[in-house]
Amino acid sequence: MRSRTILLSFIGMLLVPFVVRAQASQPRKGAGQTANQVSNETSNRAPADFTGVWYPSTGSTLGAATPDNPGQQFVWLDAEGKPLKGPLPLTAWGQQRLKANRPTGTNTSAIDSDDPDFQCFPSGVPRVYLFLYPMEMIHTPGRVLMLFEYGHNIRQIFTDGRGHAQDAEPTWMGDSIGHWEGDTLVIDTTGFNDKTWLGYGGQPHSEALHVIERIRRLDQESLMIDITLEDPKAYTTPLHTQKKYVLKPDWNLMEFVCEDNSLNFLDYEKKTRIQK
Amino acid sequence: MRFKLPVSFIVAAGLVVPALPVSAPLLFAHHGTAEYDNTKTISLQGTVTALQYLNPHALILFTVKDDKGQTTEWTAELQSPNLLSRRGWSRSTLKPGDQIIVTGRPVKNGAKAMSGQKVAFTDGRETPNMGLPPDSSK
Repeated sequence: MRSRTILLSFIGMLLVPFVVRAQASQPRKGAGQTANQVSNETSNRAPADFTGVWYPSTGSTLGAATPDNPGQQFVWLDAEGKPLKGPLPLTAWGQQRLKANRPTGTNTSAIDSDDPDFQCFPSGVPRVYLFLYPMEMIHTPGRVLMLFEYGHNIRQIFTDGRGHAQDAEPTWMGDSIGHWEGDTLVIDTTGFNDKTWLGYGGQPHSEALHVIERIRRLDQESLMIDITLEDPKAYTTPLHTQKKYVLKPDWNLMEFVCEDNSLNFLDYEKKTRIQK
Repeated sequence: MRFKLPVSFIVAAGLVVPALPVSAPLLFAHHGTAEYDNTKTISLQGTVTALQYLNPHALILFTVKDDKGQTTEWTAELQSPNLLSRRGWSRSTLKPGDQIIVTGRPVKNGAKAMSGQKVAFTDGRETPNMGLPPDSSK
């Protein structure tokens, strides 16, 4: 975790000038009002501007799979956009990985699970969209930033025309490059490690994971993210899903440090974390 | 997102007050709800020891006295402070000594711990609702 802290600190330093600049131009007003100002200043060539604080929708057609976990599971779609029936199309390797993972369930409590999320590791993509916390998008020249409140996950999407990093060490959140197709931001992400899951169910992926996201505004107040996953090592066909985000003009991101009080409190017998 | 849960009562002398159905879903975005027995709803009356306002889940530490005067320490797990704060909670919503009734689901392993889905004061005052932002399903 130490290396992650150092990495986040470094990225944080990189972001400071832009955050300060955005705040200076628009002192804590609604994010919807900031969009044009920031757009004019920093991304005048981008055909759309998604700057703002967004909250994941839990709408029933987009992932409210269980009453207890609204919006916390993806609805996987086939190539025609219809919900997949039956199990995910895993390869033999994928099935082996799924079997080895220990997600929470009827007989597995969170403390017995090996879910990387419960150990406060970064969420990966697209799982980062499943957490019920806001995400801020910031446009800067040559980059679009996605700041996720949950776990302080950060994505940098390079829109300056560069290709993917070559011969880079795999990462939790991947290497993202983007380009515009009309008003749609198309994000291409590779370079993942294979340590994250696609969801709470322990759905695996390999380092070959390739995520293509298409982000567009449905209207002034909502974003739709169409997601396609290709991972021929783990899945026999591409997977599709969607996530909708709703603008929260009056919100700011808050601090969320997973390690503050992660799973220790579930060890009720030992009460290791609970100090009177 | 409204639904009714089957209600059952845990009989433990003096500890439990009648439990009403909990209409708010459990929203434990971090580790899910597998720890809890979703078929049971309990309500406990007790005295607040502390509100630990920590991510990813806030905790209420409270003591419950049975009819023989025996005191038991309980823990109620809430959502994250970030979600609670956006519904009007703060770290001082509950203070040591406050008399409260916590309604939620017990943990499966029999420990003195539960989810806290509704928290009210014994004098009739209520705490802000928990849950997602009201329009988050649109």
